[in-house]
Amino acid sequence: MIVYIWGSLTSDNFTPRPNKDTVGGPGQQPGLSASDAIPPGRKAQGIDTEKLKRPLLAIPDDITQGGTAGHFSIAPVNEMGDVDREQLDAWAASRGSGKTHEFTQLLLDAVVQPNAKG
Amino acid sequence: MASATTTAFQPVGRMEHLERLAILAESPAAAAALWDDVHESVQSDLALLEAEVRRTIPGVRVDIGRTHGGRFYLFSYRTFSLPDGHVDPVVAGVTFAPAPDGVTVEADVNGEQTGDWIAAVPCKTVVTSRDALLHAAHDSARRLCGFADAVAAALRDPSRNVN
Repeated sequence: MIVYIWGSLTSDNFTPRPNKDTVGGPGQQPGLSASDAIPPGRKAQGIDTEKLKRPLLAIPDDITQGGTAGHFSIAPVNEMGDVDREQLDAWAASRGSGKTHEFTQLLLDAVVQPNAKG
Repeated sequence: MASATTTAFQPVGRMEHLERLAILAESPAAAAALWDDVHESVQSDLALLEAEVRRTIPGVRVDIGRTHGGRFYLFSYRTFSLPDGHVDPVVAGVTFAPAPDGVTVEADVNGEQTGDWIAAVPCKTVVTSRDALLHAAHDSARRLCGFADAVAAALRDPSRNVN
């Protein structure tokens, strides 16, 4: 399926924000936020979840636990399918460094609808 | 007498347009060098945009970047942000993506995280030749330079706070 990362194709926008995206919430795993829809008048980047290579995984919110319908968290996972927080923190720490982290590139490689319009 | 499976036409040698077909199918190093040149062309023009924005907002932070991915060859950009980090950074850039009849060139100015549209140049498709790509890069980035006021206004718009 296609999920959308709102905003532009910059390296930073494809990298989790430390202390924000690295923290989960009720029914929501930590990770880079994506959505199954684009708000009207906005630009977003369409990701094919089937083209995402491990360890990255798009994890839908659990709405029975307070998550948001249509929201996904994209994060590195371990063999058990659980979010690998150590790898997530390392990924987030690369944001703003001017270098493209390998997970950021994996995500960019899964873009199938660049500059999609809502 | 020719059978049904034998061609009735002799091959005709035509060289025109072959460079268009070959340019992105060359060695990875040659293709990478082409996109390096396109990126440099975009950035040389975006430097003018940065200068104009700095005249309005002297303390603006500007980061130069480029990405590539599955369905785009290159996104060459400059990100404008304020030191306090409350307002969504503004990204001015040019995207080059494959199209059935060449390469699509899309230049625009958007919020980095929110994706709000601030300004855009009409999208165009160019043939896949070095000259056409470099010309399109220059033309598109040059046109983005006309949006310096819009970039500055967006950075000062409190409704664009993301924190």
